[in-house]
Amino acid sequence: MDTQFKKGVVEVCVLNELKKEDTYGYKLVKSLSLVLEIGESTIYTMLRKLTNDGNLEVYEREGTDGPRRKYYSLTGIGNKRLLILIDEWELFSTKVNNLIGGLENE
Amino acid sequence: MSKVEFMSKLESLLKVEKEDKDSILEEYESYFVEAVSDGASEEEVVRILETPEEIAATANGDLGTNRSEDVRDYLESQIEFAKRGIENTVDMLDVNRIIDKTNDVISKAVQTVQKQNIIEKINTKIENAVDKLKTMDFSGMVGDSVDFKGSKAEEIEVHKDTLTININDDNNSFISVSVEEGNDENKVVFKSIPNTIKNNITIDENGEIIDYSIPKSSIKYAGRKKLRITVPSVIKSLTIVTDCPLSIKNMELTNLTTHVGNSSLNLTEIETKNLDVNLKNGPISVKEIDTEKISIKSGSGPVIIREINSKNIILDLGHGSISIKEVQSNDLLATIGSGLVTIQEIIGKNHIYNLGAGAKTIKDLDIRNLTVTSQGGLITMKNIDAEVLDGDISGTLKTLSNIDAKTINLKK
Repeated sequence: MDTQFKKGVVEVCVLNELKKEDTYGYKLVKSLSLVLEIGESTIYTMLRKLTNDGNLEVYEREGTDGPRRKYYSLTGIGNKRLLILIDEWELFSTKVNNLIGGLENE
Repeated sequence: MSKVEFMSKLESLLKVEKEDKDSILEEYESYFVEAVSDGASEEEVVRILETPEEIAATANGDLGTNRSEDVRDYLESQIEFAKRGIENTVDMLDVNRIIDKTNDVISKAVQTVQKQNIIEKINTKIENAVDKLKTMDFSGMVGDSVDFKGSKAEEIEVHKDTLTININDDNNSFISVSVEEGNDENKVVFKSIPNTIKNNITIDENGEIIDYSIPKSSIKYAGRKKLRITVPSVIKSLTIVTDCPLSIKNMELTNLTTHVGNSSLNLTEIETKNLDVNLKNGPISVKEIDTEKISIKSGSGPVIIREINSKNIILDLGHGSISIKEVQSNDLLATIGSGLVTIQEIIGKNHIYNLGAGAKTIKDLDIRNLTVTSQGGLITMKNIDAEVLDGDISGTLKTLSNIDAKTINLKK
């Protein structure tokens, strides 16, 4: 799959995972890297980029079953960004589906 | 490779801002801790992870600054600029004429010493001129502020409350424009990101100055990152002419006009009476616009139009993927070339859509008088509520559903 395309997908997937719950980098890497077939650096870099752009906030929390961890949480800006990306994704996928599936002639 | 070697190598290869570097290294430290607590050895973790080279390539590509390369480019451009200035100065001094005259004098002179003295004086004059140029043109070294006054190249014009910014012939810049509230000094501020070049342009109490201009070389350097232009709220009419990617956000003014070359344009949260958008070729995104009249003209490229509220809309769009959604307008005239077109959630009184070949989807429209013409391809129309529906979609593969109109004169 094209790298730029993958990055776009990674962004929406990361935001979507964090919409569900706050989580830490290692857990995100484990849940996304296999599904998306990407290296962990893409996810870590995306987390940093999204944080720099104000889409995510970072805080530290003592883990119940592990060490003190750096958690990421979605900000209001990030939530808005996620909605836009989902909207664009649906638009894009609809177009592609229309193109691949064809339309009935009246 | 051991963990220590891995982390050390990664640290040396990361060429990003310190905060980004620390954050990424911290994540990889955490990865080791978590994976080891899951039962893996450090050597196994190193094998699972990407190599430091791969990680650095990703991080440097997305977060890197390439600062040294930009500094080198900037210095080279400044040297080029200075060279031109030196040539002009040499012309000004008319050195050749002086030398000719000098030679005449010297030829009449007997002693070689006299010739040498005069040549030395000329050389000193030239050196002084060059030093003067250096003082003037190299004042803008990296990290310092630059006075662009008197330079030639790109022009900024301010007349009363009208501002025209013209930045052309540069494919490397990214320009963003926004308004600065409470800017009582009426300054147009140019700032590159990061802070390598800053410049203020001051407008007098009558709203008129602007003898300022900016050399292309500086804009080019600044634009390698991003050139941010903030204009005072006194500006009511703004025109931007550029070949660079342009982004304008969050502005309230009477007239906004853009002329962009083969590049990209992003307009968001604009409240204006007249919005005139022109882009030769490239992507356009126009969102959250409240205006009385809007005109968008583009040669080709993807177009996204969202959340527009305007009495009158004229769209003249070439080929490309076109998405028009959430638009409210009394009158709308759209002429669109071939490509994937989606027109959705539109409310209005008199709308005409002239569509080219390609796959078109028109749905969720509430228009009093709706005219649709299609030049072939595919068209899907559904959830259309109109009093009069006419036009011509013959010769086009059609899917029509839930069309509710009192009068239908649509040629199928």
